[in-house]
Amino acid sequence: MFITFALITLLGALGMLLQKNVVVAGLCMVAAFFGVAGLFVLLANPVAAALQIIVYTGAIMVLVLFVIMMLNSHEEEAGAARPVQRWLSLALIAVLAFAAVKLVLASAGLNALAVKGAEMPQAMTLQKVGTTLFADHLLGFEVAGLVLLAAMIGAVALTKRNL
Amino acid sequence: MPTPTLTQSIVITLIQCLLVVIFVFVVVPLTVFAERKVLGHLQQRLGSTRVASGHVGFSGWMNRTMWKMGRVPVLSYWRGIPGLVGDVLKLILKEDIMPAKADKFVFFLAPSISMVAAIVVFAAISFVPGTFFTFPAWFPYLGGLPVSGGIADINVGLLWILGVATVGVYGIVLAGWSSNSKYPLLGGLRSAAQMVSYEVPLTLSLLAPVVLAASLNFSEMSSRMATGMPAWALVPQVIGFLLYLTCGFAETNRLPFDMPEAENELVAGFHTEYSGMKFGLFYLAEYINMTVVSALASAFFLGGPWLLPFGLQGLLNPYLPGFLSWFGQPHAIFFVAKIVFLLFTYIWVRGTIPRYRYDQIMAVGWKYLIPLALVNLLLAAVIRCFAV
Amino acid sequence: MRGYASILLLILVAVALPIIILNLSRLLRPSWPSAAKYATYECGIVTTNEAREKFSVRYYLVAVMFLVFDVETVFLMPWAIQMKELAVFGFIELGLFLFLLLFGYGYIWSKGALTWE
Repeated sequence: MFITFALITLLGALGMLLQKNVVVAGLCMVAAFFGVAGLFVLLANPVAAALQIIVYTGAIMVLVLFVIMMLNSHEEEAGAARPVQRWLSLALIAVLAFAAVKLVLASAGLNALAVKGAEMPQAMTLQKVGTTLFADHLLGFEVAGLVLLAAMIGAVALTKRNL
Repeated sequence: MPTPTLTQSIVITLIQCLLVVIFVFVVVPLTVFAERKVLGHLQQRLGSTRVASGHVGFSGWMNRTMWKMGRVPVLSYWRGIPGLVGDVLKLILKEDIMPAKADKFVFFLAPSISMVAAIVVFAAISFVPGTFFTFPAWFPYLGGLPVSGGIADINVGLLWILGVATVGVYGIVLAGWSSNSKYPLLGGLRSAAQMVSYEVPLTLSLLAPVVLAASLNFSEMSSRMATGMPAWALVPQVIGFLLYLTCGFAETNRLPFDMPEAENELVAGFHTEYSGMKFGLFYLAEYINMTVVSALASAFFLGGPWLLPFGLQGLLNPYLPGFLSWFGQPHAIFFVAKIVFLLFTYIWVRGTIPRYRYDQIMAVGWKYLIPLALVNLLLAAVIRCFAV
Repeated sequence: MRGYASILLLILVAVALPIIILNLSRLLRPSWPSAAKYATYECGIVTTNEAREKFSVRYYLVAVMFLVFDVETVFLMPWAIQMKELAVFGFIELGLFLFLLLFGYGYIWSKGALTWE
C-alpha cells in the first residue's frame, strides 16, 4: 500500500517535471497530491487527507490551471536551457535531496516509527484538530486569518487596474 | 453474527460498489425520462408525452389488445419510453468524433474524470445506518453476513464528499481546454468559475447542519437530525436548505444556472466538440451529480432514511397507509424517496425559471449568498447554544 | 481503516467504468472518418485563429478569491463540529478570525472585485 501511494506521488511529481505539455504536467501534480492524500490515510490521518484534497486539488490546482491556461502561449519557450544551467540545477537538486534525506534520518521520530509492530496511532478526527487548533495554536489561527486577508487585498491589487 | 474474513469483506464491498453502479444506472435514465415527461407537461409540449401513444407498432398492438380485453392499457403510462430508448441507443451507437487539433489524451481524460468523481462521492454516502441487508444462510460463501448501508461510513464523510466534488471541476475545465475550440474553452472557463464561486456558500450552508448535529459522519448526521434533534434540520434551517439547493443547482450546472451550456451564446459549452459515448459520460456525470446533491440534502436537511421527524411517526402510524409500516425505521427506501422528490424539484425549477445572465450569477454568488450563508451559520450556532 | 480500503475499491471500480464503457461503445459504433468531421467547430465557417487565446484576468481573481474562502471554510469546520465544547472562548476566537476576513471581503467589494463586468 505504502509503496503504491509513494510511487503514485513520485511518478506524479516526476511527470510534472518532465512533461512538455503544461496542462498534462498540472494533471500529474494532481495525481501526486492524491498520492500524498493516500499516504496521509495510511498514517491514520484521514482529516489531513481530506483537507489535502479539498485545498490542494480543489482550490490551488484549479488556480494553477487557470494561470496555465491564461498564459497559454503557442510560441515555444525561447531557446532550451544551456548545458551549464542544466548541470547547475542537477547539482542543486542533488544537494537538496541529500540534505533532506540526512535531516529525515537524523530526526528522532524516525526510530520510534521504525519499531516493528508498533501500535497504530489512534485515527485523527476533526474534533481533535478543533481542540488543538483553538487551544494550543490560537495565535497561528489568527495569523492565518491575517494572511488570508493579505491574500485577498493582494489579489485585488494585482488584478484591478484602477484602484 | 459471524465476522467476515478479509476476502469475504472485499467481496461484500465489491457487491456494494456494484449496487451503487446499478443504482446510478437505474436512477439516471429514469430521471432523464421523467425530465422529458414532466417538462412536456409543465410547458405543454406534446412530443415527449406522446411518443408511442399507442397507435402504431408494438405498443399500439398491445394497447389495442388491452382495449379489446376491456382494460385500460397500462402501457400508456409509459408514453415517451421510446424516446428514452432512442436517446440511449444514439449515445452508444454514435460515431466518436475528436477534432484533429484536440489534445488526444486529455480529451479522453476529461469525461472520465467527471464520471469517476461523480461516482466516487458515493463512497461516503450511506443509504441507511447500520445493516442494509443480511445474506440468507443458504447463500454460497457469504451466507449470514451483513451488508452495511454505505460503502465507507467514515468519520470525515462530509469532508470526503466536498473534496471529491471539487475534482469534478477538472473534468469541465479540461474538456474545454482539450477541445482546442473557442466555444468549449469559454464554456469550460465560465463553468469552472461558476462552480468554484458557488462552492463557498455550498460548504457554508452544509456547515450549519454540522453545527446542529456536531458530526461529519453521514449516517450519524441524519440519525441525529431525525431522532435526537428537535427536528429535521429543515425546520430550523429553512434558509440553509434553500441556500444549499440554490448552490447545488449552480454546482451541477442546471437551469437556471446552466451557463456553460447557454445554447444561444456558447453552442453547447464545454462539450461542444464531444460526441458519442464521451458526451454520454458527461451526461451521466451531470445526472449522477444531481443525485448526489439530492442525497446530501436528503440526509442533512430532510432526515435521510427516517420517514417523519419529531416522533410524529408513532402518533401518525394508525392513520398512515398500511404499506408504510412494512418498512422498519430507518429504511433506505425513504432516503431514496426524498432523493426522487428533490430530483423532481430539479426538473420543476428547470421548467419554471429562465436562465440568468452570467454577471448576475457571479454577483449573486459572491455578494448575497456568502453573507447569507455566514448569517445562517451564526443562526445555527445560536440555535445549538440555546435550543439543544 | 477498513472504511478507507473500501473507498479504494470503489475508486478502482469507478476508474474501470468509463474505460469499459468507452471500449464497449467502440465495438458498437461506426467509424467513417473524413477531414471535415475532424475540423474544429466554428458555426460552420472555417476556423480563423487559435482558440487558446489570452482571456480575462477576472477568472484568475475568482480563483484566488475562491482559494481564500475555501481555506476559510476549512478553518470553520473544526469549529462547527465542536461548537459547544469550544464554548464562548472559541466563539470569540472565530469571531476575530471572521472579522479579519469580513474586513477583506468588504474591501474587495468596495473595490468592485465582486462585480463581473
